[in-house]
Amino acid sequence: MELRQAHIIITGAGSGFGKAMALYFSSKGASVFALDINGTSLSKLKKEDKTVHTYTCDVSNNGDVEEVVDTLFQNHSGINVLINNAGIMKNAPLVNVLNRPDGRHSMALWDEVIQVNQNGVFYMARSFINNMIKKRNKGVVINMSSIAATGNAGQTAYSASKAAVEAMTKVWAKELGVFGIRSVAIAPGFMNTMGTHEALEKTMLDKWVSKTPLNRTGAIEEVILAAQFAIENDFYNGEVLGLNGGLVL
Amino acid sequence: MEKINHILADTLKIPFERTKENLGMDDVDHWDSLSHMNLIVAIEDAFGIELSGDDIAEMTTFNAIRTTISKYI
Ligand SMILES: NC(=O)c1ccc[n+]([C@@H]2O[C@H](COP(=O)([O-])OP(=O)(O)OC[C@H]3O[C@@H](n4cnc5c(N)ncnc54)[C@H](O)[C@@H]3O)[C@@H](O)[C@H]2O)c1
Repeated sequence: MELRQAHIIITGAGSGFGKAMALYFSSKGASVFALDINGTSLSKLKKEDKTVHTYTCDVSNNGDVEEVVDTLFQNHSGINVLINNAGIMKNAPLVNVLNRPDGRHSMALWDEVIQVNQNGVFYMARSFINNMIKKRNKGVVINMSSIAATGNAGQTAYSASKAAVEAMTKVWAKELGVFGIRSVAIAPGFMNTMGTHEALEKTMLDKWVSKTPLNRTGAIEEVILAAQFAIENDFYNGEVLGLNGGLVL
Repeated sequence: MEKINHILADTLKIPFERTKENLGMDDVDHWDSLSHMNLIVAIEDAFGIELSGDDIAEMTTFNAIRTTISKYI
């Protein structure tokens, strides 16, 4: 699919990868529908590019998701790409021996991460694909996974949520090919975004960089290139595109 | 106590010389809740002791580690 013909819904488009993809794809002639839970970041995005359509939407709330996605398909023709990018990164060991009397991984933290990263992707894809099939639109779902999907110590919930995202990607590739809809995941390693700096202490990030053969974090532009490839290459399906500078966990 | 200094240096990836200071978790880059578990297991194996949950939670400085171990040996 050519970018000029792409009509792209991007979740978590208020900052980081999502915002960068929204601005880039819009500059290349794609129609962009930017969704985020944070209305203030969406207003900033809109100021930077007035052609981007913005919608406040919490992907972890199925009611919100259905309303926004159905409205989008009612009001705009040709929607053909979904980038499930919204996600939160939270860290905790399964049992923190330093926390007394109860060091067990917080249930609230587990629920929060699974709700946004895993259920959010499911809710979005379910509504999006339902509308795509009704309209007979062909296209692609791109899910943002992470190198953590292979299991990163200290990230039970995050790793589990991203492994689920990769599994859903493969299932949908098999189910939706018949409708001309592809499904792809992108699994970045440690990238230079605000989210990374907020979630990881500098010493921790330095440790990961030193273990990365290319000895640096990835750039946002490199994620954009991966997403562009996933949109443009119509034979790319059911795969997880790793983007990690050679790092293996 | 030479033995404990070797364990601290190896597990926490610090120069051996620094094990003679009283460093705490905030002073050592590699000392977090995950490496703390490695440290505890290494100490238990090396000294043949079994630390209590409270001991483990309190062993957050080199001095506290030494004091706790000396209770058992
Ligand atoms: N940054 C990295 O190094 C890295 C590495 C691997 C994977 N990822 C994944 O890439 C994606 C984007 O990461 P980022 O670093 O750009 O993050 P970020 O924190 O910079 O941006 C995430 C955006 O998602 C939005 N968001 C959060 N919860 C939401 C919800 N419930 N509904 C709608 N929007 C919500 C936030 O408001 C924010 O604008 C995430 O899925 C993340 O797990 C990031």
